[in-house]
Amino acid sequence: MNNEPVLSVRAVTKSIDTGVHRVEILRGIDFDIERGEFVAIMGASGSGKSTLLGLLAGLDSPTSGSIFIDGEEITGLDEDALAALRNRKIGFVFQSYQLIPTLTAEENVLLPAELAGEATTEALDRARQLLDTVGLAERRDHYPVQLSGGEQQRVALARAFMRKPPLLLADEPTGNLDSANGQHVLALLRDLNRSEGATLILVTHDKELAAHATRIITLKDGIITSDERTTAQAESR
Amino acid sequence: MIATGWGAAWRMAWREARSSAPKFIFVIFGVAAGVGALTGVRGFASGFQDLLKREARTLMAGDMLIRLFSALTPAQEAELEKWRAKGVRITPILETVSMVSASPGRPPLLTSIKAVDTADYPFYGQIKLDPPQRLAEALAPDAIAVSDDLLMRLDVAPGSRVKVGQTELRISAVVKYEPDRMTGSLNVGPRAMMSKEALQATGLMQIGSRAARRFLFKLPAEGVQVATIRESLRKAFPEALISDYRETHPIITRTLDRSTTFLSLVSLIALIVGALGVATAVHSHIQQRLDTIAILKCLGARNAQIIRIYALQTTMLGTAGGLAGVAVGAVVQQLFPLLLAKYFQFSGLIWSPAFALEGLLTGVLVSLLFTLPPLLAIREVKPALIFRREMAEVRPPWKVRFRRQIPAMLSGVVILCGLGLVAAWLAGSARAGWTFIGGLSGSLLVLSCAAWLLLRGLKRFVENGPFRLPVAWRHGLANLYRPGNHAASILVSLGIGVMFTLTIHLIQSGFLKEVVGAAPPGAPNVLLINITDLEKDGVREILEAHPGRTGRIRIEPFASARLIKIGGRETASWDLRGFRRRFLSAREVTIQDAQPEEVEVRQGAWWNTNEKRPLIAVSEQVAEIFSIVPGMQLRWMILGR
Ligand SMILES: Nc1ncnc2c1ncn2[C@@H]1O[C@H](COP(=O)(O)OP(=O)(O)O)[C@@H](O)[C@H]1O
Ligand SMILES: [Mg+2]
Repeated sequence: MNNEPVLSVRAVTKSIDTGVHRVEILRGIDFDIERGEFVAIMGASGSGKSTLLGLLAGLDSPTSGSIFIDGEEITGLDEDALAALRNRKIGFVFQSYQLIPTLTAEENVLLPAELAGEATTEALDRARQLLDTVGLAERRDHYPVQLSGGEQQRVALARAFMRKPPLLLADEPTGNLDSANGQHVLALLRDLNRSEGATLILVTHDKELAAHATRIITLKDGIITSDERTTAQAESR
Repeated sequence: MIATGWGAAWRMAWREARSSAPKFIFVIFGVAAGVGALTGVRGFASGFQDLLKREARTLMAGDMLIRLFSALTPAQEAELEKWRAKGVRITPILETVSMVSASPGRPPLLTSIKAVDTADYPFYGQIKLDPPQRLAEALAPDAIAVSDDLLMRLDVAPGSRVKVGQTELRISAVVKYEPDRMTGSLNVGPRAMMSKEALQATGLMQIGSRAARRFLFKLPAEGVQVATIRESLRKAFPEALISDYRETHPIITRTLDRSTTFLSLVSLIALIVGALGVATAVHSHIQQRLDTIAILKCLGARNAQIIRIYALQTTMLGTAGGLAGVAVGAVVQQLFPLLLAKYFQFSGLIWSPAFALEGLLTGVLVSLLFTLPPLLAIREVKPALIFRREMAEVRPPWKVRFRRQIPAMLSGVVILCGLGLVAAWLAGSARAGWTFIGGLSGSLLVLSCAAWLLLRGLKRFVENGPFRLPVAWRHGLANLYRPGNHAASILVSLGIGVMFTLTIHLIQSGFLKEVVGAAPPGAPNVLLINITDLEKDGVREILEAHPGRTGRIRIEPFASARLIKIGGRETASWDLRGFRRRFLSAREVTIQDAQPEEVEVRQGAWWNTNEKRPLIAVSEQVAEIFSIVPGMQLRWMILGR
């Protein structure tokens, strides 16, 4: 494995021109994330966490600055190249699950492989095995509406790991769940992260959740106010 | 498991379409109506044309016919003999017009008489007689078969004897059906049919009497090509009209072609309205699927992959509508024969898969064309939408906005060109395609402006109107002009529908005007002939009382006379060809005292009211043909005298 950071963020700003006035959402962000880290990005609502996550995944482009994934600069790539990059390197977990309502649980999990044109028998085996890991083996033919919130988020987790991405981004993954389900999802997230060997970046404003991270970056009004390694580091390694 | 990108796209498209089925049902109906009309019309027209070809032999009662305006020359006789020797069967038909009377005291009746050789006639089809019997029996040398109106008008019945020319004939049967009736030459008054021998006995066929000659040909199964014999006959009979079973009746075919084109374009418009529905439905569908699209993009779907999904979905809609339309078309095609049952006997109209396929493709193509803009808009969906629901659309400068509209505008051009091509192909003319493009884009422009103004005005009215509307109204109306609403496109589709309905109506009435306008002004459109002196006053009375009559009733006497000598020279010595040859046969001569108002004297002068000398005026055309000038002596023969 190479030693360069899996993710580098250099002087990234993001501002939006609403026509009436300019809103500066991110005002100069810099950090590197090493392979295998479990980073929690914290901050109050409206501090710019989701915006930052979107930039990291190439869903949106920064106003200035650059972002590197595995040493490759993603700022300036065209849409299709970014899509391919996301498919190969990034797994997503969203606050509101974001499953495709017209596909079954299994098909949702398989979807990233299908979009890559690799919906092989092995891929199907993997999808089933992931569903088994999140405890939904026998719900695989259910549609999202037939699943509870916690179950949907577990399907979303399985989907995020489908392509064995080096980088997993999660935006408030437990935000819509009660604490029992939240605990379950978090435990699964950490287990999968460990077994799949991905780097995990988790956006949350939940201190308890962040406590499991090896590193906590705190945002306030679009700038990093603190960036510290935690004691959880030893436990996770 | 499907391993290709298309497979995944298919599955996504299929699942989504299924879950949105109720929404799409009406869209499918729209396309189905258009495609149904299209395939029905075209399928029927082509089936009809095939049928005409198949039935053409029956319609002319032979493989080929030749129509003459004069007696055969020896060379022509020899030509016919030559073909007879090669196994071609030829039978002559003579048609003439004569008076038929029942008993001496009663007025005679002008009747079309057709003499046939029962040994051969008809080569195809059958004469239907009442009471049923063989044609040879019915047309014995002393017998005549007549149409039922002759029985009625002469007040006679089968078995009665009627006088024709110099002889009396027995009515043996009523003719119910004559296969070659449409190819007959003279259709005046009731009809009667007799044998050659009977015609001989009447003495009607003297040289120069007014008769049309037809020869029917039946080719042997092998050895004689239609084209060969036709070419040879054309040389031997330069003035004759020759037709064979490969042609159909030109008037029917031309009318059919024109109405097919017209109806095809009308159906295309129906299809366009349906396709506009598809586009609107797909647009709002995609609007509801923005989340799914954003998720797909997050998971690494390229634009092309997503567009593929929704293009497939449109194709599915178009295909479903198209298939339903083909079924509708099959029914429509079967309905046309019912409408025409009075004129033609349709034994079997074959359903053609080619037209079904053509309709299906047109349906899919037109649906796809119209869905181009919403499909292209998929590229504009930002994956960040997943985080940024509240993202207020920032209004960029007009240059940027204009640039963003370029794909939409290009797709508009593509749509118009595509539709133009389809129209040109349906109508079989490039001009029709251009006209269609012009008409459609013009009306789209006008209607869009109208819709925009209307919605704009509505907004003004709701927001700054003189009084405040109740909340429900305000919300309902505001919904019509809020961004992303389909009110405008629905108004435009509705407008197109209405406008084209109107256009069809206008074209139709224009069509009729054209037909009516082709006749000279004041020309009579009802002609009664063969009114005898006894009946004259009665007819006038009836006509004068008739409420539908406009214009003057003119009853004019006429006699049938043949021009024999002009200034001492025999008319037979004029070398007249084709049409002009008719002037050697009997012509109508009317008797007038005063100069009729529509007559203009070119040379000489009209006679006085009580003129005693035998004077005559001839038409300019006759004067030109025979070089007649005022002062010449003309010799006429009337009824053989
Ligand atoms: N398109 C936009 N237009 C205007 N303001 C925006 C837009 N996107 C985000 N913002 C603002 O930027 C700030 C950061 O948003 P976000 O990244 O969603 O914060 P968080 O995820 O930390 O709650 C918020 O104040 C939000 O209102
Ligand atoms: Mg957020």
